[in-house]
Order: sequence, then structure tokens, then C-alpha cells
Amino acid sequence: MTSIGRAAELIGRPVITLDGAVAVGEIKDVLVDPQRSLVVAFTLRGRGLVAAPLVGILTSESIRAIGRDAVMISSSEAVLAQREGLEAMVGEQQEVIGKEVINHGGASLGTVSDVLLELNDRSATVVGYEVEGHDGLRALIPVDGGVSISGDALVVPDDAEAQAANGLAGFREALMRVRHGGREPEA
Amino acid sequence: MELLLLLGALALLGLVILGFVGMRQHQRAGTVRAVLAPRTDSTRRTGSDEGASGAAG
Repeated sequence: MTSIGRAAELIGRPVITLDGAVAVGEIKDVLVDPQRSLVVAFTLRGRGLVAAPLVGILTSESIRAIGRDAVMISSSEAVLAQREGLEAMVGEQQEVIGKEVINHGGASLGTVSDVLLELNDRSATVVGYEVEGHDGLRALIPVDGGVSISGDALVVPDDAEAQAANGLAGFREALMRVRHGGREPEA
Repeated sequence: MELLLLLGALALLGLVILGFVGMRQHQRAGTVRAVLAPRTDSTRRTGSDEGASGAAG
């Protein structure tokens, strides 16, 4: 079963082990690979204001379930502590929220306010971006396949703005249209 | 006089606590990040590699 949600909704979700039912932390950052449309990892923070601001990193392979209320992992050994070479493993990172969105034609659509994910039982893929336009209105842009991102901008296809939806219900239909090459999906 | 000093100390303590809470919330704030490319040195040619290839050529 799949569901569509915002990446920011995962932030703060507790991470619980299956073997000991222990909450090892909660999601801090969602690390995505826009070129492969994948969620590759999560960074974890401790629970509570005085807990550690960074506990470690959790790769997407070690996740057993992304649930409505918690993320489940097999054991606490799945959490890689920072001393184990996290920086080398995840490479260079760029903040996605606030990034300018430009289409292939060179038109600016606004800035990214959130990333839309398709959540399966054990994995999450990037399926679109919530963009705040220059008029202040937010639109959900479906993306089928990878997009380019740099320190300067996120580049989306020319028809991205035309396919945009206002809400998650409309976004699901827009995503189906994009996946079917602009045609209405067969019932 | 003592009362003023006490009030001042309490105000200072309050500011320190507020600063700590604010800094902690900033440190704990999460976001969405894009991983651009995993770091790899496999394509980097070292001086000894160049020397070896030069010797082979």
C-alpha cells in the first residue's frame, strides 16, 4: 500500500526498534537524492529538548517500515553513529527547502516549500515538490524521474507548472497523468 | 538594593535559559537535504598513478 505525504511530516517521527521496542531517536533530517528520486537516509536526533541534537544516521536500506506514527527498524545497530564516517558516506548536501525552482525554459516558478514523497511499506520515493509561487500561492508539482539540483536552483520540466495541483488529492491524479505521459490513466 | 540585585540576577538567569532553549531548538531543527553525490576518490589520479602510467607508456 502506498501513500503520498510531505517530507516535513516525517521530521520528529520516532524511530523504534523491532527487537527491543526502544525509541532510539526521532527523524531530524530527510536526505533525498533528487536525481534518482529516492530518499537515501535520515539523520536522527534524541528525543526531548535536552537530548543530543544528532544521534546518527539511518540509511533507507535498514528501515523495516515507515508507519503513520513511527519509523520501525530491526535493531539499534541500524543507526550509524556520526564517528563512523557519515560525512564521507552521504557526500555533499544542499538544503532543498527555499531552493529556487526553474523550468527547462528558464522561467522561475518560485521556491521549494516541501518535498512530496510516495511512501511504501519500507521505502520512500520523491514524486514531487511543493512550490511557493511569487504570488505566495503554493502548488504541488509532480515529477516523474529525477531532477537536477545545485546550490543555485532546482530544475524541473517545462510542463511542471501546467501539471501542478493545489492539494494532495489532485496531486495524486496529476502524478498519474505525468506517469502516463500526459494522458488520462485508464480506469 | 538587595531586591534589585535579586531581580537583576533572576532576569539574567531567565535570559540565559531562553538563550539555551533557543539555541537547542535551532540545533534540533530538521529539514530536507539533497545529497548531491557520494564522495569518491576513485577518479582522482594520484602522483604515483601518473608516474606508473607514464612509466608504462
